[in-house]
Amino acid sequence: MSVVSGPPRAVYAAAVETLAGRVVGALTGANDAFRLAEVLPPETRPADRRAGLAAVRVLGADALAPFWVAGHQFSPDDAEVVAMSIRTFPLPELDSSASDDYAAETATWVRVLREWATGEVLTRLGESGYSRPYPVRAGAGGGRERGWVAWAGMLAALSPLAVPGLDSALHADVQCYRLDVARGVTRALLRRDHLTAARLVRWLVVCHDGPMDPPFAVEPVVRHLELVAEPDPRLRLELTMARSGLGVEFDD
Amino acid sequence: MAPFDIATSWIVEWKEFWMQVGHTTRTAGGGLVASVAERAAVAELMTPSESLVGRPSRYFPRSTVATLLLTLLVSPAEPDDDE
Repeated sequence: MSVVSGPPRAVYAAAVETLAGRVVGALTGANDAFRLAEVLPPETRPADRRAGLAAVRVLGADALAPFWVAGHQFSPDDAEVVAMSIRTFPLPELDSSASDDYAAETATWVRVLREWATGEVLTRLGESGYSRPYPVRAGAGGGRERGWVAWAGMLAALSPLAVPGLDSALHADVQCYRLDVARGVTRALLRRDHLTAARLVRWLVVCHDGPMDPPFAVEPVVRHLELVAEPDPRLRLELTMARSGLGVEFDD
Repeated sequence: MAPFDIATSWIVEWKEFWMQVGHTTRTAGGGLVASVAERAAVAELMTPSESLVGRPSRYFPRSTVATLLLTLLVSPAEPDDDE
């Protein structure tokens, strides 16, 4: 994995983009032999290894999408890479008391829920020992007390949970409040925040009751976002996941 | 090599050293845990770079504003012929 030098955020962002590009390749059929272990090539510097592990951690359940969605062979080496990423970048200590800092509390929720999703996907791939209990505080109506804008922002950060097959109280909430998710997509598009729009579109695609269920046609939104997605691998990954939920054939 | 170059390379080497080794800690099991700064970078990348709540950076791009201002300054509105 090519790694640039600099502060951790820049290095890790580059590693995330590289891994996202590989995942997209595996999902679209451009990369026939996807292996997560490729993020840790032998004889690399410790800093480069950590960048690869950080990329796996950041993408979370999406890094496993080639195995989970596209049917690539999941090997013990791949499971070990995920385990190493969890050990190297552990969850922060959870504070059980209610916090006044809404942003910090939301960030903690996001991390715990993403951890839960990764554990669920790993369990379904046949790996035991990764399953985590669903966080009680993320139950029905969780995170909605600040209104639809903040809630939709939180949903965008939780887009790795928006995959077919995962089910939780959050998924039930999204089904109940689809109009709020659609508002979030519209607001993000107006602000040219394409990544957030694509992440919310994934939720609309996954949590629906029928083909005409979302408040607006999702496919044209995905097509519009694809026109601007080319230089951004993370945006392309979100859109590829949305496409896989729509059941539409990939162009390439 | 000039003294300035020597000092620069020394600083770069030390920075590299701290980024690779010095900021990590070893767990009881022997594995390496990333530094606080590295874990913060990962946490930051997990959340969207822009949220729906904050002020959008691309709603009014600077180039658009600059073009609008230049247009107003260079070609002010013509007075009506009737006036």
